[in-house]
Amino acid sequence: MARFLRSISVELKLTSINNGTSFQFQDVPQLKGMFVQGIEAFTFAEVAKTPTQTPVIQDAAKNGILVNLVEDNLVKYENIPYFTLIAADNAGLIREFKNYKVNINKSGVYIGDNTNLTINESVFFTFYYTEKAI
Amino acid sequence: MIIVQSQLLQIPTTAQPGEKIYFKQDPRISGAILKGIQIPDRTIDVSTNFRYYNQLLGFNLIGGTKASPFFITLVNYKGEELHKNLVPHSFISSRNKGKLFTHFNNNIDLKKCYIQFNQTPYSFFPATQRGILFNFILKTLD
Repeated sequence: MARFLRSISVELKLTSINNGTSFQFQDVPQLKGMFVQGIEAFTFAEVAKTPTQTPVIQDAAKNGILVNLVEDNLVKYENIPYFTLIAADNAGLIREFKNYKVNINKSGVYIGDNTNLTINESVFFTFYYTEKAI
Repeated sequence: MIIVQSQLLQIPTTAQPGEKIYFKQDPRISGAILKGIQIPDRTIDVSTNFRYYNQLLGFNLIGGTKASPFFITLVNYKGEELHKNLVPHSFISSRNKGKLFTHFNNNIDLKKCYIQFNQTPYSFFPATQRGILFNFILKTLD
């Protein structure tokens, strides 16, 4: 249960909102070689702005985004609905992983339906991780 | 033994985006293992002259929401930022189906921990100085 020894917020600005567009995360040095134990996503309903002052996507837009998580060069978790990573919408449960070694540069999101999305809003996550596998 | 120790963090009326407010040292918190945090969703009169004001969390404001106008960063004794920019909403159990966040297992140096605003916290109501109440869920070392 108590496996979230470190965490970092990760944001990804959607510079285009065309349906079918994919975006990859920028580098997050803190996550290099680390083991992700949990991921939580947010909308404007939980946090209005990211640390860089970018508006977070509207709550009504959460159903149109899918998340792809890569380990090494393998898409390990494909097309996870963004909605399912929002703890507040899922009985307060944070989606847990077991020692997932994220390749953050190759992971990202896919816009399946841009309804209620606005250009230059961000998807926003907290990655909970450990330095060692547990 | 699990204990809960609280700290009311007073927020200056002049607080601006980017500004950091540091917690005060508390040996009961720094001398134990932090398991989790809970933030109340209701305004509470902590004393006759000071109030925890839930609008500082940014919900249900007249003129729109600005949910979670700050982030929480937790730091250990080595000065390492163990948890960077945590979203307060994760710790409001009443907004998470009553679930308490108890996933941590960290020894933190409270005086190095801080919140940092991403928006102006006071824009939508009279600028009387208020505070934010944090309940730290701790495991004692004995």
